[in-house]
Amino acid sequence: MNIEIPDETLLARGAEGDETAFRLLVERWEGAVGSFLFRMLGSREEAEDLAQETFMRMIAAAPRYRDSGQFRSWLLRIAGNLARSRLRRRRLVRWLSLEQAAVDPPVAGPDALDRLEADQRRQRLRSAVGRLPDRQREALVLRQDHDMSYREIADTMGVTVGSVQMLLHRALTALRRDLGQQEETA
Amino acid sequence: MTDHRHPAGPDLMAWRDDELPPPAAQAIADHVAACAACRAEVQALDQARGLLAGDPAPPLAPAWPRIAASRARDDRLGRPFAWAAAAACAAGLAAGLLVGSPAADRRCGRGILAHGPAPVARQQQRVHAGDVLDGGRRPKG
Repeated sequence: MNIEIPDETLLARGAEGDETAFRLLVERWEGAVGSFLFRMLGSREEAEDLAQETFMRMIAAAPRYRDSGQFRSWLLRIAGNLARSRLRRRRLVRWLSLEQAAVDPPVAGPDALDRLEADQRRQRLRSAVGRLPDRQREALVLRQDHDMSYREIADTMGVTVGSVQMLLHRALTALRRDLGQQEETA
Repeated sequence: MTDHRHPAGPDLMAWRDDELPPPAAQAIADHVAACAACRAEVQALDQARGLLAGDPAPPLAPAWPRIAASRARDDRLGRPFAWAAAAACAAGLAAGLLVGSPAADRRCGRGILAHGPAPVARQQQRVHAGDVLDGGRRPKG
């Protein structure tokens, strides 16, 4: 079963010309990379674009990869750097307007109102996440969606464990405050 | 003995995440057991996390078909074309700078330069992890 082949082994095989190894690696990690990029960028289209770029860079770097047992951190660091670069280019994070297009339109029916409310809650949450500073959002996503330890997050982001702790706490505090304010004004 | 000073918020969160060493974790556990305000703080953090957990990111289109197509295209075009394309890209970049088009810069920063031979000084540097991981940033100037 290919699922038992370690990432590093697949990467090494790919570097030796085994295209199937690269394909297996991409298929194994595209969900994690894609969701991470979606959370960072708030746009499905851009997340798909940068996921492809992330894997292209992974493939290009495969011959020089040094096995440190931290493949996930390494791969998500590539994705994180690409995401931050894209955000810098955008200058203004248009999270809300982009994400509105990604939410499915409500369908009429007995549960349409419930669905609409759920969509609105999701929209508020994603908007609040999108308003977080990039580094806070990145730390939060790595912790929440990828269940990384503080050490892994620190390795991925190139910061100290103490910084991760501060980033995470600030992110959660800001989210609580932001969503609380939205509830009050709703 | 319970410490009556409230732990800092980040420490409470780290305790909840099992990220503290045993002595510190035990001290906070003792405090939280006796402090309603800190229990409420921990609960509020949990609620914020719960909201995120209930909103999974949507699935994206499979990446491999596009990657395979891109690699096949690069293989087909081969090196001579890549050099020509890189030169055209550099010209486009120069034109883009004149008219302030970030699109040209972005295009050249990807496809060609990422996989073709090196047309600029940046490519002469060894492609170290920092280069691969730099998110496509270009040197200033």
